[in-house]
Amino acid sequence: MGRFALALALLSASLGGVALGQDAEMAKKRAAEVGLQPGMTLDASTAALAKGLLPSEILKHYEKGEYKNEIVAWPAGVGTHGPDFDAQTKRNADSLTLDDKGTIVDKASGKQPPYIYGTPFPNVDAKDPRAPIKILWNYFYNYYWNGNSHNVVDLVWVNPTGADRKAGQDVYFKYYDGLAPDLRPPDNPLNLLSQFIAATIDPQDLYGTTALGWRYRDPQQRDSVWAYVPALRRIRGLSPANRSDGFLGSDMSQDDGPFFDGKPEDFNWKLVGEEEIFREVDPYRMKKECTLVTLPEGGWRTVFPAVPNLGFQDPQWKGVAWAPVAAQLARRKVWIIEGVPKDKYYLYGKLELRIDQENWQGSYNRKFSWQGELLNSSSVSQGPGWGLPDGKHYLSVGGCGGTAAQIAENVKMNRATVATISPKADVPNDRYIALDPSFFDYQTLYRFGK
Amino acid sequence: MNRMRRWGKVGALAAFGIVAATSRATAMFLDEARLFKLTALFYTQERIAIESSEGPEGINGGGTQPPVGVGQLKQMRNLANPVLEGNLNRFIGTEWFLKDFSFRFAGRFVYDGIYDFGSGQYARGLRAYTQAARFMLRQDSGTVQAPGPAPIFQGDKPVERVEFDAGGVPRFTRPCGTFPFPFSPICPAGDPNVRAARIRDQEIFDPRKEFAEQAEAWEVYLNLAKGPLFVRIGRQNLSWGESDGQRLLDDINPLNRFFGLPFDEDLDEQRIPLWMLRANLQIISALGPLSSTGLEGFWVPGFIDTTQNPFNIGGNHPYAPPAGCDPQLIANAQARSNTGGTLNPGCLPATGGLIPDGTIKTVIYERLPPQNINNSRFGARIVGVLLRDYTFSLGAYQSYADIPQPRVHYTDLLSIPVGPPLPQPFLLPSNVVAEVTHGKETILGGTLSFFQPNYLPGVVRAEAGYFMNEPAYVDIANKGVVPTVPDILAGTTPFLDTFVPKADYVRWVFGYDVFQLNIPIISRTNNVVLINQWFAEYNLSSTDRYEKLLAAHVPASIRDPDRAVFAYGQPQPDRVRNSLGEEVPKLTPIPRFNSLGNNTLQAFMMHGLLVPQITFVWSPQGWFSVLPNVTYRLRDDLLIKVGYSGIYGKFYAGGFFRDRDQIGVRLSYLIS
Repeated sequence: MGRFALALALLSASLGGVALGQDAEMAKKRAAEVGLQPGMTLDASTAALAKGLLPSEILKHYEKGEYKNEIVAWPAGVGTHGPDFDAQTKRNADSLTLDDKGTIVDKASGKQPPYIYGTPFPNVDAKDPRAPIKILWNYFYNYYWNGNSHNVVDLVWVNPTGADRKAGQDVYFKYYDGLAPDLRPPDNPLNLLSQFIAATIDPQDLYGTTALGWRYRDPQQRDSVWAYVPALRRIRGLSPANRSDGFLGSDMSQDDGPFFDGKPEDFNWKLVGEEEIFREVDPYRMKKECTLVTLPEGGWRTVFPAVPNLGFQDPQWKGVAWAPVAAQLARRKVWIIEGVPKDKYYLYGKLELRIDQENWQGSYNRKFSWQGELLNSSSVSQGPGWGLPDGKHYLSVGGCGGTAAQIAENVKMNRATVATISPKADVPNDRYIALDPSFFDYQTLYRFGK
Repeated sequence: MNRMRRWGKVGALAAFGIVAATSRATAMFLDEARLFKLTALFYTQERIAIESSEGPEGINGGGTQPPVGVGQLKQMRNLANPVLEGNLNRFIGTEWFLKDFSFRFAGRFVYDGIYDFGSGQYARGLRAYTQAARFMLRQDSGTVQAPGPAPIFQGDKPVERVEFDAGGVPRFTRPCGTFPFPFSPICPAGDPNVRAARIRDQEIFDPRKEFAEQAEAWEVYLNLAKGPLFVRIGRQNLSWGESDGQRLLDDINPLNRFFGLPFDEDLDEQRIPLWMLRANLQIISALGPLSSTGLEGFWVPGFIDTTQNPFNIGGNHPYAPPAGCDPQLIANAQARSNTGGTLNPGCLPATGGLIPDGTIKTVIYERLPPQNINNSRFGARIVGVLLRDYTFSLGAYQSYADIPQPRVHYTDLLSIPVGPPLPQPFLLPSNVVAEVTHGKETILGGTLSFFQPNYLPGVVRAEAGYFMNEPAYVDIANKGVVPTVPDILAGTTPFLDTFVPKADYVRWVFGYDVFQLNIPIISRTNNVVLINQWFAEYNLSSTDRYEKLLAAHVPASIRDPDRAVFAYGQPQPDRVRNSLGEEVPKLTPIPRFNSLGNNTLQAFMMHGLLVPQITFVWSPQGWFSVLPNVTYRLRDDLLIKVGYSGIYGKFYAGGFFRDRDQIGVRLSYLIS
């Protein structure tokens, strides 16, 4: 069924290509008659048809001709996390629930299970007051399923006409929960959820700045965060609560993670509703054209093609510099949830997340001031999950082609920060890698330090 | 050494050239597999005085020499810091055996044009200093030297040999015999051959080499990791502790404090790497309340490296502490006034008297620890995480004190013909050697840091250490007593068997870092960072011994309220008004308790391109400092920083630099 749907989507896309070649006036007329269909392009001429199908600040970019993207079909049922995941998801529907704090607990014992994988709450009822937090946990556990990661990411500060500055980050994530059973860590004495190391590799004045974070599964336990500061040659404890602050003056913060990386228990969540929207998707993942290299020590590396994926990377591009030029748009049904931080020092007073109803991927993350004013809007391109070459594991995270980008736009300041991946074979974009827990020890920071 | 200097200049000029080229730069990988990477930092930094120097109040100190006027150049520092790093593990193919096998090779080339450009006073001072030093080396026969600045010599030979008897009582072996402590007679007229032999093994301290021209392999080390063990071997820096911008517990690497004002320069650039073996062993991953806990140790073999903090009290460098008048001028003036002459204000030579200038020679001798295993630095600590929230460390180590202490040797006695009622003949030491020693100390201490989530959440940092046997200064012990004629008439007797006292200190720092402070007018989506620290120390040692010494030798001084207070540390002259309303120098002793605070506020503006920062430093002892600066990132690889440094208040500690307010600009070019 999935393959059929994809074939249909590809057919629609190719038909759309024919339509693009037709007279622009005809296309506009047709669009007005049938709405935005796969194969059409969303741009200034068709933006009116996307009203209500995009966050308003994103739609404005299309209206002004600052964004331009092709529309593709992503029908329901396309993409998979594999049979193990699906089977466990079914079991979870019967066995898991939430406690008062919003922590996942076993229905029978009322305690947090030692290990969780699969979608914890596949059946979300909009009338359930705990629906929003269930949606959020579903997002997280679908993400964790993709295994440990190692990525070298360029963080680029972008103004409307070009890049202001760039910083290279070498990032490792290790997960202790949500992984396929064969990848489950043998023990977890600290009851960790995840650990990360992020080392700045450029520019030279920041080189060697390395952050280490531990996140615990315990709902009340704050993260532990340290950083090695080369200018001091010391490891300094950092505030685990400072997760909303733009990194080095950028518009991207720790809680932006791969879409959202806050601790669910740190917010009060509310379900706003559900809607159909155009999500940014990766054309290569949609077409199942990912270049995956099996790593000798285990895991897979995604090698990205050298194509411009953001406006500033394309000399011909006339729109805003952070526009996702390679991305496509797919119409999907999403949940909209709203989180109000419990920490009054959190920079934003409200977060609004759009999460896919079928595969629980995040699409748009909007951040509002404590007065309710929209300040920041971020988007991430993803695609359907596909099996990996070993036939056992599945990858559903991010793109694998031209849209390896996460865009965080500062709506008030007319600027953005993007996280993008270098299209080089020797640059790590690795998943399902084995990471020794000792790599995330406090002591390890000294090794990263000069 | 000349070759090194030339290379220093070449490196710095290369930095200029590259900056001038202003092409965007990225890291240079030297191989296809990107295992070997070359990065670099180049900067040029110029600083200009915005206030004129205060002159010395009297021959005993205060003020800055040589004086600098508003608008004059104080620094023209150029630095090139190329860094080659490589992954040998993959290159050699040892990945199957080692977790890490890598290296870092960082060169450092410095050229400061202060002796070659600008208004010339430093060049003149250096020339006079060098001439005086070379003259003294030649004049080892005891003849009278020409007046000039006191030279600084360096060596590791003792000025006098000190032995200890079975009861631990020191005995000083001098050219003329061996004498018990504490009242040895001074030698008769100096033996020029003995003095010549002592001087022969010394080097002239060269401020240009030390501060203005360097070309060194700065950091050279290998990293090795296998299982839970990580080893770094080579020339490296090591920092322990929790403080920011200054240090308390990590008194491991020596610091070069001579290229900027206090708190105004990067601590990391001040650190001087040492040849060191350092290891880190993870012992507990998670056990009970402990997690991620390991042992860390270091050893700087004394037979390889006993490098010390550069020392400079000569008035030939813009950031040397104020030493008042030159020691040679003081000696000349004291000798004249002792024999009927007249002291003149400031640093003007004394007039009259019987003793010509230069009869008493003064030398500053920085005695460096000889290279042997006993002079090793070493230590160990345990560091880890307690109850998942508290990062702690406990350690002990032996190192060298940050501040060297002087001990004045009086040698080569001259017989001065004076009349009654003074004793006949009146003896005067004609060769005064101020020996500056770098003493070892033992430090025990610990650190703790944790996040405080309640009101104004932030990170609490704390360090505390017990510093044992730190070399100290007590006027009568380090300097001794050489009575003037009026002193003798008042009952003062000489005390010439000087020594460097030892003291125990408790020091601590409390820090509180706030990361979640938002100032919307600066940025609604970026917080400011507020770093706060309070350093303090308390001297635990008794002063009984020194009170007794003073009572025995200088009974009259006990009645002088300004000199009656004993203290460890160099009493500093400051200006006070006397009962007639005149400004006169006053000696301010260092109290047992000292403290210092600083607050730094940093913001990110204009999308992180503009980073303003302001630091306040304050001392309850009456001085404070304001250090604002702003850095603008012109490009990823090109930064400009403009800053002001102002110090105000009492002439004490950091306040010694209160007449050196300056503005500066730094242009940095990075190869990333």
